[in-house]
Amino acid sequence: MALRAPTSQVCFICATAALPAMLVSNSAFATDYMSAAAAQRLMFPGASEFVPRALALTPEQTRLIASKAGAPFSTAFWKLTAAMSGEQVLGYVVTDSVIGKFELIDYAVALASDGAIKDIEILSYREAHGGEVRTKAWRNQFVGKTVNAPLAIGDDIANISGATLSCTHLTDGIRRIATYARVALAKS
Amino acid sequence: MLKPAPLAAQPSASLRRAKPLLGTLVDIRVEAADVERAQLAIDAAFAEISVVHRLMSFHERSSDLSRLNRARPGVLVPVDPRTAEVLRCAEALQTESSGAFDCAVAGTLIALGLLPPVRTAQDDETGDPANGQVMVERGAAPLDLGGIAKGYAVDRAIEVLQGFGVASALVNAGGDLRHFGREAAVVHLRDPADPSRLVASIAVRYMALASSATSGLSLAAATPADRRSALIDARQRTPLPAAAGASVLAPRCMMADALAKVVLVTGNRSHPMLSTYGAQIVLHRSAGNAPA
Repeated sequence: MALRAPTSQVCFICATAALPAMLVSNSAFATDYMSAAAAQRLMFPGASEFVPRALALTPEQTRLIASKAGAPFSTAFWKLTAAMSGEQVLGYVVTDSVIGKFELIDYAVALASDGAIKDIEILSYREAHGGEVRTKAWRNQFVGKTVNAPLAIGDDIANISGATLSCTHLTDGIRRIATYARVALAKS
Repeated sequence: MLKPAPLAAQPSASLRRAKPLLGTLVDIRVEAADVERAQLAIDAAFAEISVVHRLMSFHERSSDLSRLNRARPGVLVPVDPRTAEVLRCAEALQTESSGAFDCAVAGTLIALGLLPPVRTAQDDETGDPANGQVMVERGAAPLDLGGIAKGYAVDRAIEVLQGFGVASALVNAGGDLRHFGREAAVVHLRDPADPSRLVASIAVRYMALASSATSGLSLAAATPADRRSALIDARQRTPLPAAAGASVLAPRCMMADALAKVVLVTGNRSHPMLSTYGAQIVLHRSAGNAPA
């Protein structure tokens, strides 16, 4: 099997079930799962409408969340929406983005009206490499991207196997939202 | 022999969702006759994975595994049949691999700071796991089912999806995946030496594929001192050198998951367990610079 292996130590055994192996040179991978609006409808099917709400965090609450969540944090990406059934608040959806060394993950957290986490959906997953991930330019390439306008490079790399992504940043982000919910939403 | 599906059963809805579970992102894609069925099937599959996660998590205090790791020797611990099945399988894999696969490496991971300590540490389960009861022997090391529980969760999710009669499905738990359906899924493989690069793609159909690599994606850009592998050579109780990896195809994801580790630890590309479980290696990069 003709194959350009990056080092002589890599051994590819091409199984009968396998397609001819090929070198893939993409440096950015992206998958869009659903829009924020679709996630809201999925997580609160009984809601009659979804109303954007201001986060309305007092400086004191911000400090409290930071201390409980173990680190300073930014709510720059946070969007809060109330799931309503008439006048009744069924719960809330917070959408957020987390940036890791390689990955940018958009996700939505559904919160019950008492602030408990009800559900989590990944909205999109982006992966890029080459040390550019943390730069503003790298982030900006995702601004305005929607389900209908995916990335051009390495668009929708469906399935990857190999070193496993440990989603520490995502776990931290979810913990901050859970803390926010207890501190600021549960009382309302 | 598969019969052609009747026209009415042709999948017309394709749905894909992802959730953070099992310490990674779990991605499920199904094709079904309609969106409602696809949605119900995916919901049920995620629910099953959540249960496996809760039962076998090392980190959650209430998991079957944590209760076992805290249990006093000689006390029977009731566990879910699914936990019992994984423990039974882990025991068999350990024997067949002469210790290359070993779920009792948690002690080494704790010593390296890669897992939190267990409050009271014992293990080596005996008793009869089939009865859903496990007993801890004196002087045993804590167990970590990370080596196969993810693969097991993928298998359970696939069974749930099949139960819903969906036409095809792919469940991918951070690279440990399983497929069924007429159209093969193309899977890209990361370079074990540089996880940011994809080096090959293979078609997976009615099979599971799992990879083990010593360079975690989150570690790839860290300083060399931080690049400790969470994969342990159970025979020497030391981390495997970085930049090694193995990907294995097998009918069941739990076996692909375990066998990728066996190949990585032993460096044996024709390990007899591969044929035992109908598995084959699709990528192997040996540990360190030493030839396999």
